[in-house]
Amino acid sequence: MFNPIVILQSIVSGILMGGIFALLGVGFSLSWGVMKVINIAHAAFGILAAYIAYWGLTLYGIDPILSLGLSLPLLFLTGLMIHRFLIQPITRAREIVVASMILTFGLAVVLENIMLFAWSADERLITTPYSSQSIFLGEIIVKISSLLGFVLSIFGIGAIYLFLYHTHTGKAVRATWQEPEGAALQGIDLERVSMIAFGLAIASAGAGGVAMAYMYSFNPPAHNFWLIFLFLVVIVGGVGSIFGSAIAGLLIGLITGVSGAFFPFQWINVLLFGLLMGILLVKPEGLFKR
Amino acid sequence: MLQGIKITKRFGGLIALSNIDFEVEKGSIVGLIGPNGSGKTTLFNVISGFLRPEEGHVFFNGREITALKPYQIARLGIARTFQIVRPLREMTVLDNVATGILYGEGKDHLEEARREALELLRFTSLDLQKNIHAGHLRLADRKRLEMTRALGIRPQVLLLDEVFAGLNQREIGDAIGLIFRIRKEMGITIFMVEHVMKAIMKACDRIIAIHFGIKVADDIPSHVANDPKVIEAYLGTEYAENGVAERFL
Amino acid sequence: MMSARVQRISTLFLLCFLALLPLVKPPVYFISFLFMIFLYIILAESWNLIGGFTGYLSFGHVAFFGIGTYTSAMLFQKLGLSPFIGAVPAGMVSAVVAGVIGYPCLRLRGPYFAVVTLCFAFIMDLIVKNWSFLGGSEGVHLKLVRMEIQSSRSIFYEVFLGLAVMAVLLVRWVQRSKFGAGLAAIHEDEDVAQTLCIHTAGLKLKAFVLSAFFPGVAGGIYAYYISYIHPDVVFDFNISILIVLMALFGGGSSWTGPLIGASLLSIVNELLSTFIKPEIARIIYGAMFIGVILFVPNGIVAFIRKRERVSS
Repeated sequence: MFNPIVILQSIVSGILMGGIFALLGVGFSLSWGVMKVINIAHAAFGILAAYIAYWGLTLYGIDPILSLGLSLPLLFLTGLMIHRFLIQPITRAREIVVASMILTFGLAVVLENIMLFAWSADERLITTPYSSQSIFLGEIIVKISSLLGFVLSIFGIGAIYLFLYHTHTGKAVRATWQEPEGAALQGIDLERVSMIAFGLAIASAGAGGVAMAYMYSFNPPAHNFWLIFLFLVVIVGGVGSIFGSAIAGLLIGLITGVSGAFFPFQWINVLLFGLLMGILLVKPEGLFKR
Repeated sequence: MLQGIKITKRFGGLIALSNIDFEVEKGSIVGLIGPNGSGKTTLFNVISGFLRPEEGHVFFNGREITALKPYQIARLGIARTFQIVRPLREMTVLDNVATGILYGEGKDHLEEARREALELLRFTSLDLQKNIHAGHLRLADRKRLEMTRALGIRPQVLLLDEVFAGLNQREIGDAIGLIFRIRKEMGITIFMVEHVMKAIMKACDRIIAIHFGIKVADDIPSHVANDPKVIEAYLGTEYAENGVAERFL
Repeated sequence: MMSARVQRISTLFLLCFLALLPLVKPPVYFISFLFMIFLYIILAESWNLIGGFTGYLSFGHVAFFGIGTYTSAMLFQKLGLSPFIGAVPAGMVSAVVAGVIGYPCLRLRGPYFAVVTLCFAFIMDLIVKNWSFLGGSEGVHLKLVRMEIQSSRSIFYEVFLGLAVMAVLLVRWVQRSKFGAGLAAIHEDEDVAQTLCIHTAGLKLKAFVLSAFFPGVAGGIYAYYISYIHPDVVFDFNISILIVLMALFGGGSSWTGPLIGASLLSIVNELLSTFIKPEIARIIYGAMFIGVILFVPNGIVAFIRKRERVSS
């Protein structure tokens, strides 16, 4: 049980899982922090992209990474539309953050059931030609597909970082978030910037979904499972903090992976919820102050 | 009546208030002036319990109130308004005031509280708008409501935070008149933060000036107006020597 | 709108009609359906005390219902206490739990409060599932009532009708009381409420505790009604979010809101599941959430009132 190899293996698989948490968490955090939208449907869009990858592979033999060529733009546009038609009308609500929670909950239910209706609740697994291959780090086994998923996650986070810090629009997004009135005075079109940021967040959810598909089986209700982790990641990492969410994602993946080696599965959920609750009660701003 | 001793408030590395001493005597109207960011509202937040000072004490009628929560301080008899008015928007003007009377005076019945609220609204000339939702009032009336609501808890001291900001000449005149009536007819002591110099010169018995969290003057209005340190704080050093303040104040 | 006198008479008439309904032996399905509406009225109205009135939207309120079912079930199973009596301690246990977790949780604002209450409900669900003393994931079987189903259903029906009336009266009373005025002030602006001498922390806690009582009592009786309880059923997150929707749809700032919301949405749900395929029904169910937030965010009562004001 306390075999060092087992521990190391669980650390490695935890970090690989953490990559997914990090990417999904960053997008979720972006949405919450910048657009003040708690997107309950975030992970559901990831599952959608996973399905697109699955069908691309199963029907046309296209590698999941390539399927992103379709799903990323598709999800980006979907994000734009959702923000324009569902989010913007409610920005003047009394409690916009909670209102967005309820609205996106409805969206998640709709999305989940459309997928259920179209593709049933059967568990899907992505099996590429290299799926069964692994590399060996000493006695630690790392599946090629898991590694790919992790690399994809890192690239995704990197892309978001580049966008936010090295493009004109990205800087506008950051400005809007830190100081909306000042940004507006500078001539930044708040609505357009928010739309783009939201589109980016949804697209990143898609990338996260494909990364997830490389490592795990999935079906439409699976997004609920990932959602809990997203809340944990964002609250630990600090709402809106890209860096914080990324680190928190990896950390939580690590903790989950290692706990899996020691505790029975059911208690892990209790641990996670308890952790989330505990952090909220003690330090809701997260471990990484903005 | 209201006293502060060596109040120091820090926000991380920023020192907002440094060793502030002040005293507000019963029945007086004391003004608090200073350039933007000098710490005036911070001091009010400390007095009313929204902030805890790192050092120093606040006393009210001899009793220490430094560590008390805002509602406890309100119950002891210190009322306040906010710099950016915060009306209870979905409630009517009448209910805004009635809520204060319910909890401030310890009344139990809504109708009774509403009757008293109406009387208070007559005193501040807002009675005609009693059934309008507070969110629909124009600025001058919202400020008036803010004051009326504070009066509803029957305080001994009223902290007014920039009640004249955004008002025109005539509205300022009305507001000053109201403040005098509050003192005269209700016996309430007033401590007011203000930026509009002409108004504060007219209204106050004494003025305290702070700059970068440090008290630079504490005297009758005419002395403060000519105090070089005050002039320097507002206009810069060059003007201090020449005493040009009066033209600007 | 109708005059007060007409309203009072028609309400009394409606209540009498509902109370006497079982005597004409309508189909059991119909009684059961109304029973569920009463349940949601109890849940949504109670929720509204902390949600619509105070502005602290609890997303885990089903937990108090679930705690009630398990308390009453345990009292019955281990001590033989009849659930009709055991329901009251069940309600009290829920209230006490609300007091304990409310104390730290109510310090959080908006979405954080929502998430923490959500966590709490999930933790309760997981704890019960993993605790064999409470039956674990096997659930708890309660001895069936030795009575033919028509009469037993009718008894539960009347009890729930009574509870629903009590819950509505409680919320109505709160709305018109000093307590309600304080909650409204807290909802609007908590800092201002403090400057008006309102002990905000205390009032919030009181509202939260009160909001847990009737759901607990209802849970206590419900355990016996369905005679087999399982965590997935009585701690179902869908119930939590459905009562949020019902209260907000009807209108969170008044006692009438949750009543209307619970009634209307229960009927809609029932129609959906009867006439439409499950997945499509779920899609429409999800769309309802989107629709309510987009089109009637302040509730349907406010929406209708605004229409009246505009047209007059």
